Amino acid sequence: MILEAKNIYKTYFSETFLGRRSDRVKALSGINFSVKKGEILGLVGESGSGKSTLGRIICGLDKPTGGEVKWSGKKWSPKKSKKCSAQMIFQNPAGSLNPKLTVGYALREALAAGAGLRPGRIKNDKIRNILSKVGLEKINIKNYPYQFSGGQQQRIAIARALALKPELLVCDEPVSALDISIQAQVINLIKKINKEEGLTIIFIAHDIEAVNIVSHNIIVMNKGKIVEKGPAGQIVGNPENDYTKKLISAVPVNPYYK
Amino acid sequence: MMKKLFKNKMILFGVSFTALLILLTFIIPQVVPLSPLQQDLPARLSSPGAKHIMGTDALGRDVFIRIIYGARISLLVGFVSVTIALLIGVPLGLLAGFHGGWVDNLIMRIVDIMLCFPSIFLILMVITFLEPNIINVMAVIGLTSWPGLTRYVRGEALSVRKRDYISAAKMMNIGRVRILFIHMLPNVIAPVLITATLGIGSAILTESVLSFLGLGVQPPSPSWGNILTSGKNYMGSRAWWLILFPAGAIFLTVLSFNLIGEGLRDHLDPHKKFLKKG
Ligand SMILES: Nc1ncnc2c1ncn2[C@@H]1O[C@H](COP(=O)(O)OP(=O)(O)OP(=O)(O)O)[C@@H](O)[C@H]1O
Ligand SMILES: [Mg+2]
Repeated sequence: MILEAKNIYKTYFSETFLGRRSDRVKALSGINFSVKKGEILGLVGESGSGKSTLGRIICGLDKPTGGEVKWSGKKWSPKKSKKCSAQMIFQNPAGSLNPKLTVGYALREALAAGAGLRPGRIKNDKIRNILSKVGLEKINIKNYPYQFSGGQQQRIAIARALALKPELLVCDEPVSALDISIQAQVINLIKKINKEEGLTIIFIAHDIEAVNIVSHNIIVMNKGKIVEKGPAGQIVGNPENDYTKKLISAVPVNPYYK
Repeated sequence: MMKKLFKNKMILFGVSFTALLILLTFIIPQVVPLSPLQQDLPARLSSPGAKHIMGTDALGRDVFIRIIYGARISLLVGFVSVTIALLIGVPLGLLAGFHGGWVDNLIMRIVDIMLCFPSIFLILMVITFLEPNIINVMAVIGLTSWPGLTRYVRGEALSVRKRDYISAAKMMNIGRVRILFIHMLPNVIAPVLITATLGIGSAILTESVLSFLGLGVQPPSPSWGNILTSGKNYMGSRAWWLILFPAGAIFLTVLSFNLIGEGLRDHLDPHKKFLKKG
């Protein structure tokens, strides 16, 4: 097991004007699951079911209110370890790239952080090399993010995550913001990276069809709880839970998926 | 981008006037051999004319030359004190917005307290205990004028820190200083530029007021406030040039920086843009 999530809780409080805590939102309540090395684990559920919250906790961006995330049996905390073993790909590719930094700079910085070097020590070949992994070896690295299409931006974000040599990649609805004809390309890229690099991936989506195409195993979430988990074929072909059935009957089919 | 900025009449006027003033402070001392302290006693209190285009004061010193040399002092005070304010205010604002929690609370309470007092009051309070000279004036103006900047930068930083690219930077574990200055600062540069230009104008005005009160740059240094002071006793009498020209110089310079600041705000402030569209 590369990652184990043990009894994770996350409650959001909104503070009132006197600093009193009120309005609790239970985003996650008692999440348990584990991820095998090299697998793609699909995480599916409606909007607000807590998928992003779980992804951010795995990546060390948020702290759980209760429970813990263990990496190969060890607890990870941002203070002890230099870099989290997980990297995240966000839904909106434009927002995940700093508009004021060139793509070359962003990748150089990530490569440096991944190798523990100063950015000046990273050669341009390294940047080309990481871009070739996402099929963008020919782009001009002096360009700014807005000069690229949404699909290219998402590939650049993936390249930046790969530069950090993560053990796990959390893709949070990585194609929802993309043009429908581009979605399949990015999904295929994620599958390719999993196959060729052996990278473990958590693929988050609210579209169970997309999750089914990508994932080996699927976790279905509803209102901060896991309602069903198992191999992809079994979950989609033979769902046991009513909520899962509802999700399956609700999907529109993307004609570009093969 | 630059072209677009100069299409704005406020920016065009402000930049032209400031550029002209800076140019004159370099050229005039090279071309005209008069020093700002040189007295032409027979020509005391002469009105503007061919020999002294802005007239002379009670000691026969050329007002135009004094104003040009005074511009150096005013611009220096403006730039240096704003630089001091930027060096304090920007990092604090970024840190408060990025870190949140108690760090934000602490910084913002200090800001609130300082903003409670009119800044001229704070400045007067401190400067009366110090030796009045240009270094102290710049230091005191700089040290009292950062809170507004901090509040503005913090507001922008609060929205920037929620962006996914900041999360991405955090996941790289590249250190807080790098996140603040390489990832956040370029994205809050608009409020920084706007408040900095407005700040130069107000620093110049403050320096003039302090000098006029005898708490700033000391005579015979030709700071604009001092030139005004030298004309104080002739107010209402016929030596109008001793008041009009230095006051005009202060007014136009402060106006220029304010116009540049306002012009920049029209172009760069994301909130204002949003309001206009809506
Ligand atoms: N920073 C926050 N403060 C307060 N509540 C939050 C915060 N982030 C998320 N929530 C709440 O937690 C719940 C789960 O949100 P989350 O974003 O994890 O859902 P999601 O499954 O990713 O949904 P979506 O498909 O819309 O992305 C929601 O009810 C949301 O309103
Ligand atoms: Mg989400």
